Amino acid sequence: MDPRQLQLDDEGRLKHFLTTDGLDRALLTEILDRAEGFLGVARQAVKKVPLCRGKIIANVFFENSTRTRTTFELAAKRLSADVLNLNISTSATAKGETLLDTLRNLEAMNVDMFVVRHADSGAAQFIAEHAAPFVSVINAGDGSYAHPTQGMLDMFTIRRHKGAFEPLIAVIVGDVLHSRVARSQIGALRTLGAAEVRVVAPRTLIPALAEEALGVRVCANLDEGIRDADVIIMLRLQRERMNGAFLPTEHEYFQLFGLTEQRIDKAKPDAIVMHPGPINRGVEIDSAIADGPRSVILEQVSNGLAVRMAVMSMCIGTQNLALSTAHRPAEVVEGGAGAATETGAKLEAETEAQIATDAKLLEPGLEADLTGQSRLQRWSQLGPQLAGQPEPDSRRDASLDQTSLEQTSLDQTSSNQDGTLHG
Amino acid sequence: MAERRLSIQQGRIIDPATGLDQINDLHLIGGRIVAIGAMPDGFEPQRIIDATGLVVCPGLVDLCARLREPGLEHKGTIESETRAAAAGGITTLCCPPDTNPVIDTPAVAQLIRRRAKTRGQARVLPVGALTKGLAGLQISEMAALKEAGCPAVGNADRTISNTRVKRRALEYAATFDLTSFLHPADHDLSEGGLVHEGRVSTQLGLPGIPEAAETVAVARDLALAEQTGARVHFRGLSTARATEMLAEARSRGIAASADVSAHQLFLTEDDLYGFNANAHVIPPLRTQRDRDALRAAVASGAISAICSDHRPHEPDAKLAPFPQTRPGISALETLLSLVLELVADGVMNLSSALARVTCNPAEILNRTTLGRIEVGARADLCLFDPNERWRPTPEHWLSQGQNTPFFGRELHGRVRYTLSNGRLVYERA
Repeated sequence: MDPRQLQLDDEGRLKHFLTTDGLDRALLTEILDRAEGFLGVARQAVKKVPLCRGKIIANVFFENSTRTRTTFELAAKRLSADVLNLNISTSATAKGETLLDTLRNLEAMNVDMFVVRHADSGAAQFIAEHAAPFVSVINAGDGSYAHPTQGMLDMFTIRRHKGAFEPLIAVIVGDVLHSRVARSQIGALRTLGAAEVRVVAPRTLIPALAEEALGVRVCANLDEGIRDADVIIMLRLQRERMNGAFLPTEHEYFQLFGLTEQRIDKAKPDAIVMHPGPINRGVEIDSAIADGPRSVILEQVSNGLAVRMAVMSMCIGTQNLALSTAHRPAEVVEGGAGAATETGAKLEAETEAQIATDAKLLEPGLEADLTGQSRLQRWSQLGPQLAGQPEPDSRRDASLDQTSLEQTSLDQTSSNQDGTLHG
Repeated sequence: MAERRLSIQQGRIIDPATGLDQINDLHLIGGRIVAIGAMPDGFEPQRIIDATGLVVCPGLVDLCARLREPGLEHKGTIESETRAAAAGGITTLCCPPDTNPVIDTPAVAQLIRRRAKTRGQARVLPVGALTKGLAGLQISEMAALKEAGCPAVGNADRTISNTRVKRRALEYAATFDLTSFLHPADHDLSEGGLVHEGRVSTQLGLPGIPEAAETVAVARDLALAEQTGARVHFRGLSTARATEMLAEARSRGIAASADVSAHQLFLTEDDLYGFNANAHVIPPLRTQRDRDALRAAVASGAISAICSDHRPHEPDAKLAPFPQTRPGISALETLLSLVLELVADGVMNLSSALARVTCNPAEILNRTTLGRIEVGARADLCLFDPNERWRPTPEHWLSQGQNTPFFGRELHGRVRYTLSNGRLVYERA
């Protein structure tokens, strides 16, 4: 299926986040703006917002990962979701269970969102195609295809430092052939309008027809590739590439493609250095650079949290909108429809009251103007200003507001007013 | 079903082997064609088929169709797949030796032929293994395999990376006048690959199979054919460059032939977008330029046969992330329609197109009595309506494998009757 159709609902809202391919600039900007709002959550006394309260988010990792899984877990918890962590690589598949079986089992537990990492390109899309309605899928890295939240957190980091994308020259150095991170970065940079994207690596690590297929300029020489660059992204070099006849030695690789103090002089003076981590010091990057003033590597990690919160809350918001307009058969319980509705309404009222109480705890002393919506909107208004960005287009913005209204459902009346005021 | 005397009246009889193309009657007795035109004296048909508006051509000869029996009956059986073949107008098909057990002993070859005779709806010719267990190390008992009815030998999709073994295998096969079917892929260059290495593999992050995987293998095998004088047949070319190499070698008199899988003439790497598992095939779908060159090579005759490359699968084989899916298309029921599509696209005239699925493959198999309409010949016939438009759907699909990218696609021309050995094995009102 066309990934664009799959990822968006009929109104163009994000339902799954599988790849940056096929998503337009407005939507990517919306993700960045929203993440800007969430950045503040970490600085609050209570580091939580109730946007995914009552939702179950399952981190389903078919490939080992600690860092990515941890940031997803933390993002989900800050959104007040319940989190399940499943490392499938060692359990189910070893017993011969198919991916679809694993998926059905988790759906039977009424999971609302899967965060999936898998060694096969296209795995996240496969899961999204076969997931039940009202279940969102977020790709946490599939094969060599995509790692869109990493791509977006890198865009977020770039925007915070550089503002507009249009004048930027970005260079990606390293194993582009096997890198899902590079593919997502390239896709996002091009959609967001970067002036030029270059990739630098020996020919063994550049995929076929990269210029045509990815819209990048290929450089075999780091000095040439780095010239006048605003953003330098170093990719991790997997040690196993040494065995597959891709590279002769780490030593020669570092000599030719490692980022050092001398080399970085060719870039713009204010160039930033990024790395998706974990870094190999002395293989792709000199410690002096990794720890130096141009490095934004640790900032990428903090930003990752905000971007993942943004994407997760957007997908859950789209789900909630769909849920509010569609009847969900699973909600029919024994004891007759009337009783079920009554209990349901009562529960909902209690939940809302609880959420409203929680909201007051968020920023003590500021209860007066506090509803989750107005706060969120302040963030999303603030975001672009902080980054020196133009406002996103109003149509998109309006739909964003509606999404956030539905998902927080703190106070229906005031949120509607907020929505109209903002739109 | 078992009428001994049958007349097919007023069909457009096309026999590419003899160049026959006329509207006429055809009369059969006991599985053989006894007359074309006027009814023989005293002939009283037990059944008359009105073929007005239909084309009557030889039953199709398919050089590569996996029936999955023995060993993989959850994907298909000789019974189910030959029924699908009959619905596709195919009356003779070759099954490659990668069954389980492998067709490397006369017993397995005989088992397949026996089962096809008792339960099948088409003639099944097993291709014998070129090497024992298809392992590429030890040549097989090819004389015994020929004796057991194998018209050719091959190594299915398994590569023979040891060039010395391959040379000996080709020489040994040539001793018994057996054609060797070769899978044109270099082992090391194709290992681990899934799709054509190019624009789409780069965008989707899927491991690629470079063009050179095919050209290196074809270059090597052509050199071996030239050295040994053995007859080789490339089973399923996919690149423009390999077709050029083949044409050049043939012009120098090297005994090499080739076929192409029908889907390669229609699909390209672009069909992979969205990780479409039904476009996962071996060899991989390549570029538009390759597709056009394959069409041109089929038209020029450099590639002399088109086959279905039928590979039925159970649903689970395609229900997984792309890299985990099994390659192949369930293709018996669309072969003729796709060949007719080439005529509609102006690639070839009808008679030349039909030659690619009748007399030409029969010639490659050295079975020149097959794939033709002649007085005295066995009545393997396909009657199709060249103007009927249809869309394949799962509900009307006979193969056990429903893995096809052509479901829902409008096709032109459809089989109405198929006769195998004079027996009506498929009929559609």
